[in-house]
Amino acid sequence: MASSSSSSSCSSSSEKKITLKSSDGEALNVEKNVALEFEPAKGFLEDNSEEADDEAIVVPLPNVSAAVLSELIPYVKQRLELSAKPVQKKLIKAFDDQFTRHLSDDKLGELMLAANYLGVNYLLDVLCDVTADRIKNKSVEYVREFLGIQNDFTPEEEAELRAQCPWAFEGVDQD
Amino acid sequence: MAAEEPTLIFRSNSYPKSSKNSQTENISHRAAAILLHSMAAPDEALLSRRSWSSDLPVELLFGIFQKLTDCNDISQCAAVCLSWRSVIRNFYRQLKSLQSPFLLLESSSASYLVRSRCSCTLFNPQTHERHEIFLPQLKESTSTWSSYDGWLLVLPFSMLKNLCLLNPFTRDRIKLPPHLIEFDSDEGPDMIRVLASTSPLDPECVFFLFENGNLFICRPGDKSWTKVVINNTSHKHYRCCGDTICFKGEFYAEYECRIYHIKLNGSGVAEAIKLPVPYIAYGSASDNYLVELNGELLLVQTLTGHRILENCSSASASDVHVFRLDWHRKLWIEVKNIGPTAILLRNHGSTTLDVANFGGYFKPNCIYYVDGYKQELVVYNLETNHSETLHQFSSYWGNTLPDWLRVESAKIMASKHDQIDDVAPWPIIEEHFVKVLDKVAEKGLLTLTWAEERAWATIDDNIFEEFGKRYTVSKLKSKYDHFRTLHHEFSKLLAHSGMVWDPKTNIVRADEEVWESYVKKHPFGKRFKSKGFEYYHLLGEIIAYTQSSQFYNTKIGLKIRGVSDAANVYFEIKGAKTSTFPGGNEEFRRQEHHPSIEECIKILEAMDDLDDNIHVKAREKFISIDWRRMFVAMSEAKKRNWLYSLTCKSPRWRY
Repeated sequence: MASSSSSSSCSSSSEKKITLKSSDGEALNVEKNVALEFEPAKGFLEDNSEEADDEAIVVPLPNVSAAVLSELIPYVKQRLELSAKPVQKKLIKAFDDQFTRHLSDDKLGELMLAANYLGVNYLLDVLCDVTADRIKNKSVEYVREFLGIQNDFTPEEEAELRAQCPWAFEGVDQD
Repeated sequence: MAAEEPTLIFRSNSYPKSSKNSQTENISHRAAAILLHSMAAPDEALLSRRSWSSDLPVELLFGIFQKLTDCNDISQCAAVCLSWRSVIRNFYRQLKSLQSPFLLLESSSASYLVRSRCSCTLFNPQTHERHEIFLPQLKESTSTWSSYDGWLLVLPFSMLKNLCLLNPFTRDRIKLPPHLIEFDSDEGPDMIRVLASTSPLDPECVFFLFENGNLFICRPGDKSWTKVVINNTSHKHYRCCGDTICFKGEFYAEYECRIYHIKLNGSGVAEAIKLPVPYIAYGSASDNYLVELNGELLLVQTLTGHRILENCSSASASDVHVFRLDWHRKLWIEVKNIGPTAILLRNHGSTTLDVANFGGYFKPNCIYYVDGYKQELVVYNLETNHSETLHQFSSYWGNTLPDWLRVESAKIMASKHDQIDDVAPWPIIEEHFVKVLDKVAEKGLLTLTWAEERAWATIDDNIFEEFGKRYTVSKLKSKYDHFRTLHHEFSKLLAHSGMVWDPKTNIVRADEEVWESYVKKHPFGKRFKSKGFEYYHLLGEIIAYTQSSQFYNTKIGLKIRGVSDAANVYFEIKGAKTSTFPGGNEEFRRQEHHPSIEECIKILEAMDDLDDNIHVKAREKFISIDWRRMFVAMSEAKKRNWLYSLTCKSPRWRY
């Protein structure tokens, strides 16, 4: 899949490029159609549409780091190419699966926050799916550990919860 | 953790060829550098990992919960932490996994001699999975069937105890007056049924209790059931009834195709009106169900297994008939199409579903029911006149048929009792809570042992009145403790050079390096990266108040004055509960004002009989704008207390 994308990115390189500026100050060049997938960038470009030279526009994305953007951009690009063709939903799903399968928990979270901020809803949907999958059938302790959530219940409340739904604490799957 | 590191490397390699552009190559170098860095310091990775989920906005959390299809998972998530719990509690009606109907297979009533288990078993027809929900509320009682979508009727073993309705998903409980139940009669407790005219949470709901032909009604808050005297008792048939339904707020009973409308005439007198008799397809061989659909009264006849065997040797092509009552012509008209709706049949309150809301599992124009004889879940398609077995149950469930149980539908959610059980999201309550706390602390109530508990109870009451939710005193106290920790951490952060906090936008600005080094030293501070602590000033005030009044009460020995002062204030709060909060804006305006050092010194100079030591200490404090603001905001007496407290050597005063 990677090889096919590289060839197509060559063909689309004639398109207009937009520069995105990440939270850590990196500038990334992307095709305009990719940039338009990001809500804040889209709004920014619409506001500055009178500027003749797109190359000159630098869109600041102060809530996303370069590391995350560099993950997102190839995904969005390929996803756009896929959805432009009359391909089956299965293929898109396979592509999404491949993208998310090896994401670390950390990356998953960062991507989710970024996708939420950038308004990339199809990615957000996929990521929510993956997160739900990862906390499914797990014990409460595992979920807390997985997401790094502090347990803010008082010991009495916790005891009450345990009494009400003991299975929740037993961990259905092997963690 | 160890298992994840290799996957990180794998990720970084998976898209290296995506662009030949040197810029992106740069980035992948950078990404690799970051990854290497995180590998070199695994603790770092662990720390950073501790944070992202706490930043998840509510809509994302909700998005994740939407994906969970199993109610077990939902209850697990509800046990993870307070904010998750509140998200689930507030939005549970919109959660798809809970919206789809369940079959209630059994509750602890399986045998009411076995009293140890307090649970009910639900069957999800979509996944064919069973779930057991533990319900400690069922202790010493038995629950029969649902009386309204998603509500179980709980019958206590003891005759003196109240009946109650229990929502197993939310564990909301509604007490009904006690009713004498005879468990040893042959029929068992099954003969009692309680119907609700609307959602039991609706204050205008009417509850009907029907037992052996006697009808009782009560409304929320009644202490006892009112017996309804039925005038024309010539029709005795409704006594041993088949199905019952609450249709447009009134009670209907059916027995072998004779249908009665029990019409209430004012106070406790009713009339049994006989409705037309429909065409009887199978005579007494059919099971009849009354159904409400789009404001019309329907009668659904099914021919269940044992009756087919007994009466008709070969089951006819059409097992199910649906009739609609034409009120004007007084006729039952057979209906062949019920549109994009599925009917779930059950005794005493069948429900209808708009299939569009249930992701394709429930088919339009279909009727779902449980065949008690064959122990099967059956779907009957009105269009094709074809029935299909969806699930074969193995266990025997005794007298009571499985019952559909579902979370109250969206239709009900939109009605007026919304305010009763829909709670504002925690951030709004939080803001309110901090403001009330500030008011209470200002009066010094939080430091007086005798007043403290009452003050907390007042706060709890206040939140309950504003938002209709009880957090309990212990929870509020722990929330306050949590805030204090946050305040402490945040003030540490602000003291760090290079950190600038804008209270208006609640964003802390600092260079990336400053952040990095700070977070390394204080991992707790990471949470302030995306958002500061918005109640920093208010909380600072609260803490200052509690500390200064502690000083006030203990060191100077003006205990008595403090107590009477506090008592006055306590009643003032009680009386002015509703008027307290609109004033919140004023507080903000006051915060907008930034008193200068000169102003503060002027005030200080105006206060005579302060020793020089205090002046020195106070001037030190005035360097901070926060202290200046607090100082100006304090009352004369509190200013004094605070000033005295500055000279106190106890470490408690410094934070």
